[in-house]
Amino acid sequence: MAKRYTILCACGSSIATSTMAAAKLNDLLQKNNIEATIKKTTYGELAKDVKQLNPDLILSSTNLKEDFGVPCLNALPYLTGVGRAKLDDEILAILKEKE
Amino acid sequence: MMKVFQVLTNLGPVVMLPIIITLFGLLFRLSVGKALRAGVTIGIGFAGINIVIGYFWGAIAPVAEALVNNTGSTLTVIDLGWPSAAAVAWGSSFAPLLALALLGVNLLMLVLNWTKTLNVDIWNFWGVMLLGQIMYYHTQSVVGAIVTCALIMAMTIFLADRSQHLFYEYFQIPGVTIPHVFTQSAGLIAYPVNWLIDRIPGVNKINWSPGNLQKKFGIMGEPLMIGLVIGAVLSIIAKMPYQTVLGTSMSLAASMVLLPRMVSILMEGLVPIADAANEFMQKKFAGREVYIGMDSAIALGETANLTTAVLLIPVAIVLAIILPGNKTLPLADLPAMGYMTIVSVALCRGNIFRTLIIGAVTLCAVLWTSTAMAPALTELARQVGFAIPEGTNIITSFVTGLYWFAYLIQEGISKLFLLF
Repeated sequence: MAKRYTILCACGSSIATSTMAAAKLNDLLQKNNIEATIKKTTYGELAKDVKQLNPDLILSSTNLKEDFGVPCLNALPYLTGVGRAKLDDEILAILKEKE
Repeated sequence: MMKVFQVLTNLGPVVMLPIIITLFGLLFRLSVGKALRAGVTIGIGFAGINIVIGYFWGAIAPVAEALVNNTGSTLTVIDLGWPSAAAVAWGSSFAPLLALALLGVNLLMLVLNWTKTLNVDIWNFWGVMLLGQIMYYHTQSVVGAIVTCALIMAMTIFLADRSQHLFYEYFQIPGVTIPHVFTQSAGLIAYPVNWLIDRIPGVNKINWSPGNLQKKFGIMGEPLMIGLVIGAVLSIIAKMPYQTVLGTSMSLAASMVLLPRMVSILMEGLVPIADAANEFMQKKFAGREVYIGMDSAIALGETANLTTAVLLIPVAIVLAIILPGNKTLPLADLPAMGYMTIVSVALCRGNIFRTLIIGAVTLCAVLWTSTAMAPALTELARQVGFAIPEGTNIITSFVTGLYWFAYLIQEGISKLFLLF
């Protein structure tokens, strides 16, 4: 059975931008038949969530300066629509490595 | 025209929203299936918000009342949080009309070369739309509401252009501006206060770095913890029996966690429409150098900002009690104070001594404005069917008080309209 990934989408209140990012991420994963649990969270709760869920990837709406020991990408291209394909590729590459 | 709004409003937002959002989606050329799914999802989000607000209200209203009766507290306005205010704004029957007007204002400003910002942050139109609806509540004028929205949007976009370099230098986010009313209103306070601190000898040398404060106090910034602690503290002060203390503590924690979840369902429905609007706008200006207007969430995760937001929680509560003229009891928005400190964090390069001072000054404006908006907001919330019984306490959104300048613009225009 294929691996099931865990991906965190983080933003300010886990309402707006993380939902936008999660929607695009979901599209990408479905297109590529990748199974994943996507959890939306806030920056303030990120450290706790990383510890509890041990995610494969963090997709953050902001540049995170802290290192969580987990690959982390900026979701900005999913929010602006500019550079979306490149972010798609980066995400797929990271997930492939984790297979 | 007004007849149509009236009929739609009478259906209640859970029915009305899916209908108008589906039509709105079709306008942006979504397929029927996609548009319908978006509309129904928004209706579901709204139903969820309604349920949680009813629950929240049931838990907090008796405690707030006891606080007033047993302690002589004058904090009679309950903070239901900005997510609820956003739901009120998107839940109004003329939300799509106002949203189109806001897109129009931005298009016009771009065509006339007045701005470089292409604002695709459709979700955050809610703040501007809410002021338009308050204007409508005051004057019953749709034109007035549109004029108010247009002016506030234009001013916010103008300020966003001016602050682009500031965000770029500090947060290293290329190609975007933040035409977010929260952020730019906070900036209008942050610039002068920072300028003043620069000129006070001695004080202008103080520099505190956040260090690992965020790690130490971060847990206190979590909605779950804020709900537990504030719920318990309030009901103890209100001299409630221990069963009520435990019950309120738990219900408030539940509401703080559940409310954003429900609002995020509403947002899920809005995503395809926001995407379509984004695509439409970007196609119109293809090949031209523009900044993409974004939600301030893209700058919110900075450590200094998270630390300031947590440290401001007790400051907000103390200020709410001692500030003359304030009636707002900060509750649901206590986890959301990061929105008011982004500009000051960038401006003061993460010096949290300064961000705290600027934050305290900002909080005064926030408390006064949220108190002033409360009657209008309560009525608007009732109109969209929130379970807030007549004759009981009134509600507001504490952080939405950050819209102080937008609120003043609204007050000015509504006074003008009422003159004629």
